[in-house]
Amino acid sequence: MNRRDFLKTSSMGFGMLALPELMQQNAALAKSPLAPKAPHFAPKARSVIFLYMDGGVSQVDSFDPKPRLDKENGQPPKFKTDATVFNDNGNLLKSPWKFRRYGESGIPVSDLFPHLGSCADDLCVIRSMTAFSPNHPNANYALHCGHVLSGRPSMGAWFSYGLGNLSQNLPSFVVVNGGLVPPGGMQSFGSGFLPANHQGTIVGAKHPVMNNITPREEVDALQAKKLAYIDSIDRSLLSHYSHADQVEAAIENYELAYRMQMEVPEVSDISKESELTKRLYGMESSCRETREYGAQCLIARRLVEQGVRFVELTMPRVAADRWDQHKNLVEGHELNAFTVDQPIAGLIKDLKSRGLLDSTLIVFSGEFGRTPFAQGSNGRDHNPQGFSLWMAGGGIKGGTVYGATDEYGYRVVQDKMTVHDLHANMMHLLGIDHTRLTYRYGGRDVRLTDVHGMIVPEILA
Amino acid sequence: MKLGRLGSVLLVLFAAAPAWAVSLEHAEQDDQTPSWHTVKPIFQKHCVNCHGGERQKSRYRLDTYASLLKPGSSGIDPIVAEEPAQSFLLELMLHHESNDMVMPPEGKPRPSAQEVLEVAHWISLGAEGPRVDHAEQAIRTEVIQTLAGAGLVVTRIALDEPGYLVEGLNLRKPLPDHAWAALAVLQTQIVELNLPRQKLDAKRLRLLDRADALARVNLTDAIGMDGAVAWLNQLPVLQRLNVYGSDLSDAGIAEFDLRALAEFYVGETNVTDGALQAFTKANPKLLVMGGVDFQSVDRITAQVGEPASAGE
Repeated sequence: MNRRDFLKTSSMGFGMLALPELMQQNAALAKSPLAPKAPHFAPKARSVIFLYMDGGVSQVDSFDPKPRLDKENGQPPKFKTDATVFNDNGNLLKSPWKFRRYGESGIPVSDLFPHLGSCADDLCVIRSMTAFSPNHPNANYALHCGHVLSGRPSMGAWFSYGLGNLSQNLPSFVVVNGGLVPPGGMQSFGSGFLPANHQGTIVGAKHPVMNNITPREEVDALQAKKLAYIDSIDRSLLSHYSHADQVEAAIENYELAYRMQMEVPEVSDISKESELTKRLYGMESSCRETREYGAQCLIARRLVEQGVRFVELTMPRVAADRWDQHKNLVEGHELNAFTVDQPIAGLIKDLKSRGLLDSTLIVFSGEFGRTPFAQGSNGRDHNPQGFSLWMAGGGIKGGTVYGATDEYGYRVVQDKMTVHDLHANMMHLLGIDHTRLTYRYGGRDVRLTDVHGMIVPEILA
Repeated sequence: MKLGRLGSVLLVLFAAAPAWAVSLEHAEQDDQTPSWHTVKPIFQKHCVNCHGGERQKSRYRLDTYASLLKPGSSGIDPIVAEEPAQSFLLELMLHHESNDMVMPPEGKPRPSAQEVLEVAHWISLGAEGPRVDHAEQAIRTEVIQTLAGAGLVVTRIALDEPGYLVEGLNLRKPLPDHAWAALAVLQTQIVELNLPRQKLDAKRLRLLDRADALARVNLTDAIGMDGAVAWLNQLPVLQRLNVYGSDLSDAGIAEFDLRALAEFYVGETNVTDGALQAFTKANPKLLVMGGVDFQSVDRITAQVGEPASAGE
């Protein structure tokens, strides 16, 4: 029987549904928009953890070493440069950090990321990424939603739409917010024109991670009675419409919220983790920001363990303007790197030992890179012409470097990639053919990758 | 998408009411549950002339089950399993005759309302292909419903691949007996079985003695792991085994004899370092993953200086 009949026959209405066992049964009965769906073909991964490096990490200071910069440090660039955002271009600026080769693969990583270096054989570094815009908001919309203009669904929403949710008590797309709202706003995590159930649910990393997650009513039956009343009003509305989907979705949302009251405090309670695990994630660091990001990473692992489909981490506030070091490159990048390096490496190692790494796709990316020539005296401006990102786990080929920029690290010269290609490959690893996952909107069958996106076999295991 | 009157009726019938409820009603009358054998003649009659071996208008053909699932030149999936309202094939059949997009095209004999309903019903049941017989399909739907009621998520591995994923991450209590019985019915088709935090009962596991397709098993944080080794040993195609956090002991790991195993996750168990090393040496082709090397991480942390501008 469907929910309607079930409610009519039960004398306690919503109260009956409040019992956990029956909630699960009920979730199975309903054709929820978040019900798990089989992918197009057998997947390698079932979840994504997206590590958003807000502001743009400098590629020549992280994963793309350029000896030419060392040689010509201090000289004006002889190559043609495109317009920059601040138009305050200085001379070529070599990397203040040394690069070392790590692991069996020998991938070079700068001294900004020694912990990540120890994971080199699990990383696939892509040096040929490009952005569609030199501006933060537009580049963010493109990175997250596939287009430089706002309003489209976030990639997390697309994954939720395509695959549904394995967890019955948590949303399918969760953003663990470190405190920095991405430029362009929270729209980057929105559902756009997809059903609203697929939007990112924003949680923090400190208890309580969500507002209003603890019921105000001391007696569970009181809350259940209130919700039963709301439910009965919503269902009477259902009978007035033939297009029931949106009302059903809103009802489903209430029911998920009810179940989240139990699950969210539990999944975000990292105090239960062992001391060794907490230290692994950097939560005993003397640096507050590292401890905060460590908590975010640990929550991300727990969310993925509980079946959440797409988890995104934003940067915590550091005493520098995100990764956006237009000046004070050394202080700013050092602080940002120290914040994320150990926690991310801890996440990779923890997932690996738990047997979760090959089913979890990790992506580390900002919205663009930084110029190899200075801005002013000691900063770097935006560089959409070429930057680096890396991926790990989830069927990605570890110990790999793909693509290349020119000798200065300025412009991509080999195997150019865009966000469309990134999204296409992410979907591919989760078993989705990006050309077949569409939604009818404005008379078109729209997809995340629009009419673009190429699968890159070289980066797939 | 606009479905018109009939479409709205179907939307209510097959979207608001769960698919399994409809199939259960028909379970008693096996011969009336629509299957590929029911819909194939409908397609033969109304579609295959222009969309079959001789002609493939819009590069689409539905004379075989495999080709029916592949999109034509529109690129749109013709069938979304269990979702008739989202299935392009059905949408085309439901258009008004005067609509440019209607199939069959204007002037050709229209399928009857009964025929359209059969197609919609078949899609709502999962649009299974010819290898499935009605009785088996009805039983399987009922079994999946039982497992769902016990808190398991059961879903196909992929649209184009047979086999099921049985996911127990939502379980908060041990699986009841009737759920184990249902698993036994489905066992030959389970490819991946995830049952974290379970108290393993060798008697119940023995019910799954024909799990011939089971390639990946996840028994993290299990209690009674040693008693499950015998059951694991008889899984013919087990390729990946995860017992992280379980109470597997040295005695248990010594009993493992898994021919097809390629990956083994055994961190944070009761297995001692010595026994693990011996096991790894005895199985050189097997990827064995233990716990995290915390000390190596501490060494890196000790070497890294803290940035001058770190906050407190």
